[in-house]
Amino acid sequence: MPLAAGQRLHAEQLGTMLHVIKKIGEGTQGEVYLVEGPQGYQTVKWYKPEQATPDQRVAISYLVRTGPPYGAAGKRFIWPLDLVTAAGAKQFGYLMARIDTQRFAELGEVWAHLKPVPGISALCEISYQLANSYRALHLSGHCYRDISAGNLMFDPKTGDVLICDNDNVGVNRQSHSQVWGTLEYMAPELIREETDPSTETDLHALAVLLFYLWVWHHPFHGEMEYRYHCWDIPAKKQIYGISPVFVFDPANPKNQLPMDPDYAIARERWELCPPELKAMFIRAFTEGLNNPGRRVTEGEWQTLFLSLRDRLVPCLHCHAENFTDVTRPHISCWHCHNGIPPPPFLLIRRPGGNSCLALSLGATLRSRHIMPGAGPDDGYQAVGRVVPHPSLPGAAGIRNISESSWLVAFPDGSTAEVPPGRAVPLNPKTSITIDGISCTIIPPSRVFP
Amino acid sequence: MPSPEEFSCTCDTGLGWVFGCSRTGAAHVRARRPCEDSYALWSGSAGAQPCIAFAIADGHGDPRHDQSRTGAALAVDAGIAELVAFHRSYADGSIPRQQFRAGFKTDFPRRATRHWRELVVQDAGRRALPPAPASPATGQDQNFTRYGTTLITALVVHDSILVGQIGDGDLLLVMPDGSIDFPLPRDPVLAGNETHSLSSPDAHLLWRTATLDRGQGGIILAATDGISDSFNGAESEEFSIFIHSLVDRIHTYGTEAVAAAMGSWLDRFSAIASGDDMTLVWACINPEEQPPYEPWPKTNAPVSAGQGW
Repeated sequence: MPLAAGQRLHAEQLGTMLHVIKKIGEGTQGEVYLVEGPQGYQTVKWYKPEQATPDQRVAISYLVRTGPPYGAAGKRFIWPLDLVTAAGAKQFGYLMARIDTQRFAELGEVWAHLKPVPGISALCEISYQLANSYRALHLSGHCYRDISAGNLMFDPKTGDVLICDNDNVGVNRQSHSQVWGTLEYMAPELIREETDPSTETDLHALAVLLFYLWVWHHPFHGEMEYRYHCWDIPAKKQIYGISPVFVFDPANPKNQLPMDPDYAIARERWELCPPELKAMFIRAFTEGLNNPGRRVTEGEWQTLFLSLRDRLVPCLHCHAENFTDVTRPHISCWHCHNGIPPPPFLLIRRPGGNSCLALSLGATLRSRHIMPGAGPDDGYQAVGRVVPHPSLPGAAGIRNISESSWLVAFPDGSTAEVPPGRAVPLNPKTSITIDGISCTIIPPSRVFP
Repeated sequence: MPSPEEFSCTCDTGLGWVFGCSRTGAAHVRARRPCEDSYALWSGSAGAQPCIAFAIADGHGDPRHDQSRTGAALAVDAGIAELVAFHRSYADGSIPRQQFRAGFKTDFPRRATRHWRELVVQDAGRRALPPAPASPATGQDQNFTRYGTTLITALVVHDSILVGQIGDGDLLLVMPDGSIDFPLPRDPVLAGNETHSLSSPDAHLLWRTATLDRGQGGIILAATDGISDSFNGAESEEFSIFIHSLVDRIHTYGTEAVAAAMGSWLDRFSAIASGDDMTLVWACINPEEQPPYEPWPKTNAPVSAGQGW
């Protein structure tokens, strides 16, 4: 029985009453309502009768009890806040935060030009946040079981991510679910019914989702799929589960993209992917297909996307974002094809390994560059920012916007303390020590991280 | 393709009725141009699962799209064919509803777009249209552009209503309580009154789709933009009044009487307002039935031939 406007609901653990305002959406498992309660406007997912099973009730109660993963990674999950019931109803639902649908977009809305297309830095951020959040979920001993574009929303400008429909989350390899995922995202061994959903099958789905985000295409939709006149369930099981072949598999051209307009965008977007990202997708959809142990982990994805974002520079002519290539001093803009002068880099020597940040105007040095993985804000706190010189055209420096002074050693051997608010000129061979971490400004041809 | 001067209807006694009516716009009549809209209705079943499918298309009509009347006709053919194929592919009843609905969103836009392109290539070959040079901007065969059209589709099955749209036009659901729901987001406004098109190189990505519960049923209306343009847009009060009056007349006079009168109503709207071609399809959807009679015994006892029939 659907809920009616004005109907009163009871939040079981919070002990509060909620009033139904209106229905705002529906899915296969239930309907979503806007409700008002002591916490203001929130939403309730109300299960359909056939979905409101005792097992589902136990699963929701468990999720309410455990809460989302800790920190920034966990805040991206629209987690069940409380079990919700109504007097006289056998059905139930759960309370969750309200999503700002003006700000956050689904991938399909971007494709249909209803929301802006995220730029490359936003795409890196979306991808990083996805990997980071699923890593946190998996570390907490849970698997998601239904990773797909349908459960992802993102801010196309900032790259902030929300992960919806968390009622399918369960204990890895233990709890059962009513949902086994969306066929396009299911790992081959899951389609072949050889295993149950797990963190390993989640990793396959995450790779498919990331491929969709970057290439706007399914990794197995090539010649093999193109030849199916009847695209029914057996055909899908064949393509996704029984004999999956990556469309860009360098060793197996059997399923390459057909020469059809449908595939032109995928071909173009693949060519725009940097080599490291291509290599990661190739591994995920070749070695990782039938060997779950070789799947790309969330940690590998998040490291990759952080490093890719640190290598972005804007084109001086059209302002399109481009990946700099540390092995080549000259690159051409993917959009307008004009040359882009390579910026200097900041080589950061950390105990866990070196990293590089392209020092283009506006580039931001964050606490995560200095202390990886530190802090509840996921290392997002800005420490320094590249700014133009106030009077010298073309000159730039990196301004200290942290709360502590930097120790700077200049190429002539002199040293100075740079307090917060002051900037260091971007002169090669200048060394900056920030919180004990040594950073050196070097031209691109000298970068060997 | 039905003649624009007629209305068509099709039905399934379990799901409901669907009607369509298409009229040449007043401005087209004055300019001696044909109607560039098209629609198609279909009902039937696969695996004993009934369905109703309908499609409505609006050819773009300007000189760049000189084959758009045919393009619209091919679009509704492709739309219906892919809706029916989609229904058949899931008709064995064992597929979870989640998979069925997710499959529509991920597969139908791609398959329908590809099917339309195939029909366009066949038509251009059959009619020996001279090959068009590739667009310098997109590299696409510009014959597709000549056939440019919008497309709205809907599939009604036992428990679900699946709708998809590319380009402008309106699709709305009038609930049994009289409230009007637009299940699809509005077409984004493009420069120069243009709209998204099946002929766009990225057409398979430009679709908007939604999946709904059949639930308490209602009336689905799909219309080319000529109709809502006559009422100051689909979200205007005037259009809402028109929709409610249409539903009232269906309830008062019956669907066939309304269908018979629809042609003259659309002619009048076109004459006094937009002047555009007008095509309207409306489907009266019955409430979802409870699970049908279960012919098989609930026990695990084996059933021998002829037993229980």
